Formats: sequence, structure tokens, C-alpha cells
Amino acid sequence: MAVTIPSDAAPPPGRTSLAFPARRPGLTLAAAAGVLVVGTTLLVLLLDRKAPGILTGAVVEALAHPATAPLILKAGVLGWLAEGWGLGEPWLGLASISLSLFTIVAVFMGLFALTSIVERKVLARIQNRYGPNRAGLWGLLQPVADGIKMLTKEDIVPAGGDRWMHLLAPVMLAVPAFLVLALLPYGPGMTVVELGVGILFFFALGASAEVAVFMAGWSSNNKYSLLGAMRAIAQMISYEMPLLLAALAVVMLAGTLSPTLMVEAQAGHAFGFVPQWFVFTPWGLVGFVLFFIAALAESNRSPFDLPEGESELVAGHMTEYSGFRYAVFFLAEYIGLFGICGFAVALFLGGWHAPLPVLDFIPGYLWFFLKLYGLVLLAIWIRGTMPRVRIDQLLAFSWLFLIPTGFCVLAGAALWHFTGGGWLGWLVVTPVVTAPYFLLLPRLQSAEANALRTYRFSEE
Amino acid sequence: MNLTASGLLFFAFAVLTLGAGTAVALVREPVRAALVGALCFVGVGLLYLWLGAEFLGFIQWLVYVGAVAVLIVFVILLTRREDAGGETEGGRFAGLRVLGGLGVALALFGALAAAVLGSGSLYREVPEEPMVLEIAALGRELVAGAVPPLILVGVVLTVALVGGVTLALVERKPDA
Repeated sequence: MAVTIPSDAAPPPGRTSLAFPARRPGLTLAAAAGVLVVGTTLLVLLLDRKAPGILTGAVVEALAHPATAPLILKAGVLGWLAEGWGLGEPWLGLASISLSLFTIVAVFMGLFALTSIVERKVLARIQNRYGPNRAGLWGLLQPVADGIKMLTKEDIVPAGGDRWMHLLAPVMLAVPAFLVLALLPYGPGMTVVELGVGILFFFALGASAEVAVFMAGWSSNNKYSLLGAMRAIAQMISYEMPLLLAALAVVMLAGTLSPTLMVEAQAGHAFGFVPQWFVFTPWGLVGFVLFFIAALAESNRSPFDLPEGESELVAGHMTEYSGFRYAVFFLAEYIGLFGICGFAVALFLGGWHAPLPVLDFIPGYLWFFLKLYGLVLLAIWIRGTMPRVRIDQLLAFSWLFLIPTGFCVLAGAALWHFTGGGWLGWLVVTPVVTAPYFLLLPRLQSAEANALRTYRFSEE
Repeated sequence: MNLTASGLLFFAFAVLTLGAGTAVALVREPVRAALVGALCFVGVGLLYLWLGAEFLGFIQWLVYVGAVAVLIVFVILLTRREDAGGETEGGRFAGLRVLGGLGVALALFGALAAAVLGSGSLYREVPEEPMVLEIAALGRELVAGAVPPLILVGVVLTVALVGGVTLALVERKPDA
């Protein structure tokens, strides 16, 4: 059948331009209303077993006590399952875990969708553009459009590549990223899995990311993929050290490996208004900056995004990925960023504690997510303003500056412990933790270190 | 024998570990063998977790999956030559190689078995209460009793690292 394409750009009646279809907010609203009506009806049908009493009771109580609202709601649903459906013990425990996991996954998937549009919007504003603004109000439905696009695109496995490894690599990256979320202390009594050695589990999961990235690069049968994977592994290994050293200082002073207990160690205010967060100590401040820089490198964020540096490596280990598998990579990167920012909040920024005693009425979990999202926005801001570094600068920065600084932070934390904090602690620790900045950084920034580099293999 | 959920888990982890270990020896492509080896390390870590030794399990993942497996992969990628591939297939001493491999495997297994049997842990009563490992106690044990060997190991590793860097830094003059 012949398809006629209108050759002349004469807009049809009712439209002013051919370039974009007119926006139809009415249709969007109608669809949303339909989903709401159907969902509510289903819910009412499902809940028709002693539900109204127990569940409305829980909702009313949750509204009255916002600080522990998620716990009350969960207890309400569990109580309804026990009374209305007569669930016994093994199933009730399973339901409890499933509820927690479902909530966490739902919250972070929502955050992922939000961040994917916020990042593009903020970057666009920094670059004096509008960013996506066509799908829905202010472009808010862009993640939905992107999701549909990713799902319907062709899924390509490169010829000569390793089919199964190519399939497994994004999963291997996404699963540990989600597991990290179970360890984060969202609020008092709101850690999903209370592990005595939580921080160790976090680093063990980070280790598996290296293997996953290598699998992706190697199985693609593409030289850019392999080069990108090798770069990514070199980068991850180099920046795991400062990350560990900064976390170790907190472990030393909090005396525990559990993130929840670390947050509890940062409770209270000095002089009634200065929070006792670790970031407000000299070693904690330097440690936090160190942790955040290393976190940016670990999650392959700009200015350390050269494993996928598009101007030289196409897209690094993700070159041969398309469609849904690419979406899983994308998801894993964002979830990994959330997880590592969550740990930065728990370790240095006081977790769920409010910055001022007056602000204690705002629930702890809201504070946690506010701080977490603040760090994510900071990462986006850095991406919009910093140029990408070169691979030799990247490795030198870690080995010659960050790792020595990490050792100084460790020594500073020990001195802080022995001086007992206070003004004496500030006097002794400040020179120790800031020394690398004055002694080591000038050498890295010298003209000689940043001169044009010729690689020995590129010479004739 | 009464199979509980816990017992089923043990068999699943054991099959994973042993299967991956066998695959390491049987897979032809070295990179694939290294990655299956990483899976084997993951299985060993899972077995530690199953035993309640969280600390050991996570350290196993951190060190073996995160460092050792990646190191092996790097060594394979940086030293492999594509043209040297066909030489190892078949050959005159195939039977001898199989015998040698079996001998080494049996000797290693014998040494391990002797160590396990000699420790007497197989005949010990299993305590009713699961043992709770305190990380702080483990750390104190390490720092109080084992300081000299710990420092020695550190020195040896540092010397090896410096030696490796020195070897790698030698710049070859181009044969112009």
C-alpha cells in the first residue's frame, strides 16, 4: 500500500505547527482518573474482610503520629492479614518482609523515575535550555515515555558475543544495587535488614559490581566495550580505597559496623543547636568530602564518567546494549547512586536526625530522604559544571592524593578519640587532616603533571 | 533423613559451589573459567553465611570476588596471546597431563582431608545454641595475639607490591 507523505509543511487546521503534536492535558487527566477509579474499586473488593475497622484505625493513628506512620501502617496491614484472613506465623513473617521490600522498591523506583527527569531538567537549566517539556505537565511524564520506548526497542545481542553473559551482566549489576537499599537506616526502627556488619555487606556488594561491569564489557565482543570495562574496573578499585578509609574512620569513632548504630551515635545537639553529626568534626568534614568524591567515581558519575566517555569510547561497557537491558543498566546506576548517597547520609550527615531541635516535628524518614536527595542534586550539579578528567589524572588523583588523605583522616579520627574532642581536638586534628591538601595537591596541579601526554604506544 | 528448609539451602549452596568449581576446570575459554570461578567464590561466601559466620562470608566476597577474581581476569587479559591458543589442544603428552592434573588434585584433596580429620572437629558435639560471633572479639583476638604474623604478612605484601610496580615500570627502549 502506498503511503502518501505530505511534502509541504502546511499545518492541518487547528494546529499552528507540524513539529510537535498539540498537548492534550485533558486526555492525561482522564486516563489518570480512570486508573484511580478502577484501582479504588479493586481495593474495596479486595479489602472486604473486616478491613474497614482495622485499616481505617491504622490510618487514623498513622495520621496522628507521623513520625512512626510507616510502622503503624505496616502493623495495621499485618493485623488485618492475621484477623481477616487468619494468616499463621510463617506466612505472617513472609508478609512482613514482603511489605517492607515492596515499599522500599516502590519508593526508590519512583525516585528513579523522578531523578531521570530532574537530572535532564537541571542539566538543561544549567546549559540554558528547557529540557524535556512535551510529555505531560512540565514534561513530568517523560519517564513513562522513556520506559515505553526502552521496552519496545529491539534487544540486540552482538554476533560473536557471549549470549548468556551479555544477558546476565545488567542483572548482576542491578541486584546488588537493590540489596544495598535494605541496609539503609531510613528512620528509628525502620531498617529493613538489621545487620551487625552492615557496612561490610555494603562493600562486599560493591565488589560484585566490578565483575558485572567486566562481564558486560567482555561479552559484547567489542573493543570499546572491553576498554571501557577495563577503565571502569581500574577506577572502581582505585576509588574503593578512599571510600573504605573514610568509612573506617566513622567505624572507629562510632565503635560499630552497623549503619543504624552509627546514626544513633550522632544524636543530640551541642550548645542546644549544633548537631552532633560527624560532618561537623574536622576529620568528619574531610572524610565526608573524601567519601562523596569516591562515591561519584564508584557510581561512574561525572567528572569521573570516563568508563563510558562518549567522546572516546562510544559508551564504554554499555556500547552494545539496547532496549530493556540498557534500561536495567540505567536503573542500576541510579539505584547505586541512591544507595551510596544513603550511606553518606547515614555515616556523616546524621541519618534521620533533624539539623535543629526545633525541626524535630518533621518525621525522621523525611529528613533522611531530604538529605539523600540533596546529595543526588549535588551530584547532578557537579555533572553540569565539571569537565571530564583524563584517565591518568583520574588514577593519579586517587593514588597520590585521596588515599594519603584517607590515611590522614584515619589518624585524625584516632587523635580526636584520644583528645576527647572539644577545642583541643580541633586544634590537633585540623592540621593533620588538611595537610595533604596543602602538601600533595599542588604537585598534582603543577604544569608538569598536566602537560600534554604522549603515550609510548602511540609514538612511531 | 529429615530435610528442613535450612538443609535444602545448604544443598543448593553446595551444588552451586561444587558445580562452579567443576566448571572452572572444564570450561575452555580462560575468561569464562575465571568468571565461573568468581561464582564459586560467591558460593563459598554463601556457605559461610549459612553457617552464621557473617563476617567471614562478607570478607570472602570482598576479597575473593572483588579482588582475587578481578586480578585473575586482568592477568588473563593482559598476558593472553591469541595465536598461542591452538597449541594446548591434544598433543603428545595429553595422557601424562591428565595424570599429572589428577595427581595434583588428589594430593591437594588429601592434604585438606587430613587437616579436617586431624582437627577432630567432625567428632565434636554440635552445641545446641548457635554460636554468636562478636566482631569486636574477633578483632581483639587478631590484634592481641597475632600482631607479629599480621605485621609480617603486611611487610611481605608491601614488598611484593613494590616489586611488582618496579618490574612494571621498566620502560623498554624501542629497537630503532
